[in-house]
Amino acid sequence: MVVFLIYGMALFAAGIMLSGMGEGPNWGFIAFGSPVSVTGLVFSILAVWLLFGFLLAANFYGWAAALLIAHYVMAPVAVMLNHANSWQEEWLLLMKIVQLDPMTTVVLLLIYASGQILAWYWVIAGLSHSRTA
Amino acid sequence: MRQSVTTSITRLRLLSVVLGLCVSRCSVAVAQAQTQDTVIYYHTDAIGSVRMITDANGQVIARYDYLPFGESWAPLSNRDVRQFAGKERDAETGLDYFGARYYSSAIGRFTTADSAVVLSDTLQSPQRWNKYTYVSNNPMRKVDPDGRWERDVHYELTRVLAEAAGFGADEAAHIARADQFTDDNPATSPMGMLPFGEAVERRARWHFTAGPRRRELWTQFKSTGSFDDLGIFLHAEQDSFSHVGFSARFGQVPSFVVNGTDLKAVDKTAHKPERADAMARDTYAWLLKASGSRMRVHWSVLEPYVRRFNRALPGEKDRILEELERQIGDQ
Repeated sequence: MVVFLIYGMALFAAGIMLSGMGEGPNWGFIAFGSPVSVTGLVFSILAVWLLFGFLLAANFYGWAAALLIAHYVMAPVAVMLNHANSWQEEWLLLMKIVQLDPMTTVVLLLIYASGQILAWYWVIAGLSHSRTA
Repeated sequence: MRQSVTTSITRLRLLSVVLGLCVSRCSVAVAQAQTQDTVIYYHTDAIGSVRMITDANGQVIARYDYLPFGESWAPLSNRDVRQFAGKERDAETGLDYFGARYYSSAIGRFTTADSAVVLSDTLQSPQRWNKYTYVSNNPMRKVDPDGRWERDVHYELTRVLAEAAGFGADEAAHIARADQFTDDNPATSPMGMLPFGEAVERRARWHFTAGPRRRELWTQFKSTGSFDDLGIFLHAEQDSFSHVGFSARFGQVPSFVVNGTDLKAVDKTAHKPERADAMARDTYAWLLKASGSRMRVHWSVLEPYVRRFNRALPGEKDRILEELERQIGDQ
């Protein structure tokens, strides 16, 4: 649970950084907090990953898997519902921030990806363990 | 090399003034020749169109003239890549690349629809119902920097206020372009992912400025008299209203406490219209100071339009500024 609280905090910081310190797109901020971010709540990222950590700690592996799948499926919906400007403007801002600092973008995406790998590893391990037990 | 280029730019600016040409902005491009570098200079007009190219000796290599929508006035003798509005013209298709879309100067339309148009905004502005039009069919007064809709405060409002303050239409557009370019230029952009390093410095120098820095920018304008410098100063001055309470290090990030995930909300005039009203009045005061004794319109005439502008949706803003421009024309 603590691991995913830290992961959530890291993604919250990553979302803020991808927003170019408030001058760029808010897509990262919203996508990392999917599915809760469909509500537009600012602390969605922390809520999602804290909940995920709780589900793992409570051995609800099926629910944890469902939350991960909902995270991927609902991400485009959350972005669609919450983008601050027009699609095109947000997209151009995203391209601009990525071009300004490609290395940091890669590092942030690696943080996200490594957390996802860890999440799926624990979910699959938990599911197979409960099946054999 | 950098030293010689800087010297050349200074010489070129002097040359532009001496010639008294319709040249409002100078930039330099270095073309790589096979054996030796060749320096050429682009001379652009108020909307960024390349009107003349000169070599290092000031000899004219090519001249270009355009009709309002970008069609060439006469057959081009020397086809350079950068042409109408400073955009690259594709040699095979003849289309201009505006960043977000391709534009055909032959028909005065973009080749694809503007996906940035929001239906509710266009209801107030019939010229925007057609998603393929260029600058709402008003190319004499407007410029489209990248194929997206026009920018409201830093470009549009500044341009109209500059005209009201007594600047000519070309001069006003030049000031407004320099103001907007402070956001668009990577060297001065406020964007950056990290709360330290170059991005913080850029924000502190051009966007989240303290009083002494703005005085420095004003002094810079007074010493050069350049409209570029005036635009840069106005940008910092205007931002000082919307960025109150924020620091260069963390930018507008703290605004999430109030505005949620829309961190750019503080940049919108309708967010705090009273503050935007004060910003517009301050901008006008500085423009009057910059224009000397050329005042044309009293603030009391402008104020009702500016107040409506600051509270309007993007689609309505165009219409309000058009009304204001007509009012200024009548004065």
